[in-house]
Amino acid sequence: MKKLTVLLLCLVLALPLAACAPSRDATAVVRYGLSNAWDTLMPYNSPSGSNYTRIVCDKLYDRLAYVHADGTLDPRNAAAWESADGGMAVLFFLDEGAAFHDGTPVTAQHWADTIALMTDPDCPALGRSVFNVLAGTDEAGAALPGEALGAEAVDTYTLKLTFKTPTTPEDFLLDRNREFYVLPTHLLEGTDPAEVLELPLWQAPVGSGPLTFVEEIPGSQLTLAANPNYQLGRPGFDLLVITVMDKSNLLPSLIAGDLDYYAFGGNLAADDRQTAEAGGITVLEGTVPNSFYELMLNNERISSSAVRRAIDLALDKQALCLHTAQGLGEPTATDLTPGTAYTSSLTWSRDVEGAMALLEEGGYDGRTYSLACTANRSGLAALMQQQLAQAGITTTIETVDSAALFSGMAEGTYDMAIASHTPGALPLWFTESRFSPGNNIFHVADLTPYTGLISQIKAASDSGARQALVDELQALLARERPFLPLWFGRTLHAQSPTVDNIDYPSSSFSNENVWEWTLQAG
Amino acid sequence: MEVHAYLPRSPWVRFRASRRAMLCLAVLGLELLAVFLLPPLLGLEPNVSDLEAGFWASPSPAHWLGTDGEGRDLLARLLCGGQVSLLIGLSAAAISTALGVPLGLLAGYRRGLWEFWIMRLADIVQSFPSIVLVLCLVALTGPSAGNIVLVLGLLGWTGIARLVYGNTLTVRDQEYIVAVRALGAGRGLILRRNVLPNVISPVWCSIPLRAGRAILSESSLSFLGVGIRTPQASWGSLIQAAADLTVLTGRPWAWLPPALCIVLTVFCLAGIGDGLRDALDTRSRRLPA
Repeated sequence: MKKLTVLLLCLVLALPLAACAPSRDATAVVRYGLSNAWDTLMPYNSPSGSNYTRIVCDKLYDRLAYVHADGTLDPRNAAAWESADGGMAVLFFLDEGAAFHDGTPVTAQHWADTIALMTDPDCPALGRSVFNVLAGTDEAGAALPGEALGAEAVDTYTLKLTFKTPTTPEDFLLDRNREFYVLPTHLLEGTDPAEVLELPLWQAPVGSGPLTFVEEIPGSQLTLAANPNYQLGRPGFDLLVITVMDKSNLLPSLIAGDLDYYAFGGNLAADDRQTAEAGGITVLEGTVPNSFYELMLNNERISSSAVRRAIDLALDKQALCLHTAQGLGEPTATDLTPGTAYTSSLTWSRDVEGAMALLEEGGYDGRTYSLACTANRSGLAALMQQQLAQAGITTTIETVDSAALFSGMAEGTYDMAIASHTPGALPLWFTESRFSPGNNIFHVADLTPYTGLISQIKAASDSGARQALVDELQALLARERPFLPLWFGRTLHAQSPTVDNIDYPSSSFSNENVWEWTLQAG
Repeated sequence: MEVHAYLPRSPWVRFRASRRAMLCLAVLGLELLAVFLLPPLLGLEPNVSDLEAGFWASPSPAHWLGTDGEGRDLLARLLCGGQVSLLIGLSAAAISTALGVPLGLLAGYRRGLWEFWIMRLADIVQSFPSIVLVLCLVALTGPSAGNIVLVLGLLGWTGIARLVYGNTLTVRDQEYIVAVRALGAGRGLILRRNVLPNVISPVWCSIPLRAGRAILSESSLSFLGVGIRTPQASWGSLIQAAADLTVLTGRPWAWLPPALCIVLTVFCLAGIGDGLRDALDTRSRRLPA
């Protein structure tokens, strides 16, 4: 009896141990960290329109191209493209190997139907405005009745997009690629456009991206599987588990081995470099600017261009850049992103005496300007305050949250504000949105000189003529200084210790080359 | 046989008899002198960056405590920040006392509706989580030293009012108060001459503790980013740098001195409070014969 009891006990103990043995079909899982949750899996219906939603949808749905950080383009769903109709249209030749996760081939008709459905005035898609560049749409991106929509399937695998103004394929893709996704319209046939966003399909989407949907814990975790039939190749892992966690936990989790990678591009503050390296993480220096700092000015309150130029001369951009970017950045006199096709001969240098002379010329009456910033930039604002004081300009610092900062500038509450943006490769990536009647955040009295030049630049298809117009616009901006370009910053990337072939810099363009990622053995 | 005698002479003599209280008083006095006299004497500038020394420079002969993330001298900011923190602590305690004592006296002596409304108001104020309430009020009024003093002072009266209220309830029915009342003395006179002196002792003891608590509250607010306005410094805003992992682990000179100053000040204020309690409460304090 005793022997039998001992034997049974041994068996009971052996069972859990057996479970610890390596599984024959071990799953290769990439653990991916994200500091904010996506708000939907329906790419055209994101209330926030945030990059967090874009980076998730980028994996489930296919886009036309892959945009590298330096502005170069690679094929994705479109294998090639060319300009047509004298620059008013672009032809996209789709990859004939592309297919949705249910096996249906992706055709030009899917693209045309996607655009027709989303621009349908009855469809309440929140992200419809991305289509407002296409012919036959209004400013909100809704199709205009009686006009031909600028999206048609020329043949099974040729998509033609027609624009309101001359647009090169590169300009279009750099500007809009991250917001154009192809939907499985064959699954939406017969659905009322007004109800299309309510379909259960968006809770378990069928896309044509490199990863397929497995399961979601909304706002917390998303599990995706490798799409074995993706036209650019099967990802080198089985599952990708996206977990939302606090930003401050991303690097510690990577160091501890709880994550394999975190978005965007393992972005790392210069201050954390030492911590990362001490934790055994290899740190890569970004080569392409990923941030642009500006000092927004209220041109109504600081009405003299001489005073605005004086503020520009009074600031020590080199010291400010060193303080914030810790050497990973270059002061600038323009908003043109370095390393792109467009250049400027304008240079920057600090001149406190010149600033004082300009203040006198501009009739500065010694008033105190309010300088708004977010809490994490209060140190930068304090440095600016000192530098402006050296030229005789007094300021008070208002620490506010980001939303209050931009609304305060729009409403004219603040005189200046520090802001940063992700730069683009196009010459108008910054100015086009800032000098429009609908978004005159600098309170410029007469926008005409700016909007006129912006329209001409957009219409210029010849690169030489376009560069000349860009120079003209930059000269106008330097004369008037409606805002102050401060510097372009580069970032650091915490390299994944377990996943190879990650294109870290391009992540800031909300696309990731997951089909090329390979999980290291073991 | 052990013989005890009641402590003789004035409260100050009794206070001096406590070594710990005297040591705390001396240290706090030195701290006050350093904080208010050293910056002008040494010509320290808390808001000027030394770009040659660099950002986050470690301690050196030019900058004894190093520089902060903006290249500002940390010794200058520690001393000037101390002025702000100590002023906030002492002013907030003074406002709380100025409000709490009369309200506690009125509630305890007049009772009835006075008691009901004052004590229910105190209940309401105390029922909110204090840090959340202070955060909301400072966010509404705007971050500045003046607003922080007002908010901390206006919300801190309840504890003192309760203390005074409890003691007044005990005292109001004592025979000597009944006798004075029978002699026709007015309510104000009775409160001022007969009740107040008999209930004020514990309040003196609690003032240093409240000042210490206000310093800690200001530090918490500054740490959470709703403290005083940039570029002004306080001990709390200096410790805020420790929110960054790199600063916390690699630059202790940036946050250790203000943290030690807060600990030392609160410890000294608590010691002084204990000394005052012993000196003013003759019933419990005896000396061996």
